[in-house]
Amino acid sequence: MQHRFCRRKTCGCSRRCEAVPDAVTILDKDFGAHMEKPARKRPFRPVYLLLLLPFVAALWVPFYDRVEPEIAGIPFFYWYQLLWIVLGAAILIPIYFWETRGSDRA
Amino acid sequence: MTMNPVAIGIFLALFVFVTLLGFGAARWRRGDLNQLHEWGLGGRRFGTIVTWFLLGGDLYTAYTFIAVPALMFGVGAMGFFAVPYTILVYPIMFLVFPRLWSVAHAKGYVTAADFVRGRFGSHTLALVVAVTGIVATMPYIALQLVGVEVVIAALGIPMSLNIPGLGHIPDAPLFVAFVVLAAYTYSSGLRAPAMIAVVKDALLYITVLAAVIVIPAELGGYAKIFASIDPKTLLLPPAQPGNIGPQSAYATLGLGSALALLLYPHSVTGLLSSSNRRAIKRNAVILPAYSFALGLIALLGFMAVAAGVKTLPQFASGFAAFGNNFAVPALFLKMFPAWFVGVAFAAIAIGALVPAAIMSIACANLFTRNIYKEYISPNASVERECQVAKIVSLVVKLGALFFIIELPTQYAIQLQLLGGIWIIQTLPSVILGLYTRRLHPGALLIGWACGIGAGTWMAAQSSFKTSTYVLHILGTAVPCYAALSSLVINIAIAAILSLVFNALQKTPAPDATLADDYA
Repeated sequence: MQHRFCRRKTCGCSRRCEAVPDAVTILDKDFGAHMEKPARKRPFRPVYLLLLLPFVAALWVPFYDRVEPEIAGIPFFYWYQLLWIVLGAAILIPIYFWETRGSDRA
Repeated sequence: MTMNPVAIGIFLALFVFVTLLGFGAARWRRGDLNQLHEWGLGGRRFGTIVTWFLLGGDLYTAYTFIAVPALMFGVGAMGFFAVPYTILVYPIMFLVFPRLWSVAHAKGYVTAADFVRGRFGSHTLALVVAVTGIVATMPYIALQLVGVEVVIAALGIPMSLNIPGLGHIPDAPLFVAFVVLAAYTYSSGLRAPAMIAVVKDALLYITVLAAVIVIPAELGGYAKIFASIDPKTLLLPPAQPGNIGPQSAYATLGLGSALALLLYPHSVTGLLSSSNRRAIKRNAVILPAYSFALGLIALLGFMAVAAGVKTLPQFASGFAAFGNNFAVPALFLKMFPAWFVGVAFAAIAIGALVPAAIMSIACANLFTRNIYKEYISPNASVERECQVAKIVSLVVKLGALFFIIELPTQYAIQLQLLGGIWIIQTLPSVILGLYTRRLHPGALLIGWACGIGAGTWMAAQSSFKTSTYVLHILGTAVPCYAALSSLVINIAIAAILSLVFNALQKTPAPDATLADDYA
């Protein structure tokens, strides 16, 4: 039953799509809109809020503009920002897998 | 400076090796190199790993690796803004650029201006995006040569050679390097820098790893290195009542640079050459490895301070010629054995050739697609189109070479600083255009013009010495990267005028793209 109405293996709103019980749901307004313009009518996904974290972390300069705590003699200002290079990349990993699960598209 | 035969030998051997690779690259993943998407985008066939090397070599240029530690060496903490800059690039790349890839793939677009042409149906707006891209990139290519120049000088290779029969030739080594670069770019297209990038990156990572382990050990540890930095420049001065000061300059430089970086033509070329949109998303996750290397390289500036290279007599002539850009080469010469100096300097010089090649290809793509084919010869055949691109890539590189040899380096630096302010003005057309068609092309044009004007004016207030301009918001002085404040003006004008123009114009220009093309 699932994915019956979608061209793709899973469409943008895969969760909702998989939950479709029968053809009656095709009348569901939201779902119908999604059928016509899958790229535009994607529901907002809260997982994307994670992408804001690096912006907050990197742009809130007064927070990290300090020497203490040091690690191995490296002031906080420096190791904090180096650490966020790694964290910024790590944050993208769950989003990547969330987007691509069960699908051949990213 | 004294000649260093071992270092020069290793350096030249590596240089010859990548030259052979560059010419051999034409056979790699063989395609018809008489077609622009084959020559100028590598046939859109690069997977995740090759794209990683290509973009890594492309975005983290030799000039970056020289200039960022030079800035740390000179002004301290402020130079570290390159780190928040590279932190912010990747969420943007992850979210926005797969959309550009998809629509470019669906419609056969080679440049960002191609997309703007299709999306907004305005060849004028596309021309403006293309010209902005070319003008912003030219000084960037010229600056890559500074990286090569510095290491050649540091190796002790004389900058002017006396060739029997030809007489005295100034800047001969630079000339040779660029002729070689131009030749293999011409014959192999984007495949050449992609292949060379692999070697360059291997050398780069080895150099960085050695530098951050060996040098601190010799200098007595990181604590000693940071202790040698003037406490006044170790951190940014905190905000004062009525003046936020350098902290806001730091944050806006990071954000503005991150927004501008991916709009550069060489970034777009690198991104569009990948074989699928997933490769771009994966690269947003793995490219920060280069950011980490860059962060460590930035700290080399502090190591150069701790090593006291500036006062050593053997480096006096280098600092006199290149200023603080000589800090890292001097540090390597002091701390590394001669053979490893050869490896490290080769990493920098080859690291200049990769982005220079990609930038010239990107400019050539823009000229061919959005100027030549649009205005000069609309009926040009596919082969003709590609031929023009190859020739333009040569012209662009010769222009950069002329620039650096004939004019003071300071001009290239100032123009590159302005380039960031200019290229960001294409953000509404390119990035916002990926999400909405409601912006009117006429409004985008006027917004672009206002952004360019305002940004250039702000930079002119400091006689083009700095790209930050102090805004006065509610009685508080807020130093802000001119690219960011002028972008706000640009977007505000484009949005307001779009409302007006759309209300006046009942039938908008056709949009060649469909919603499905972006997914």
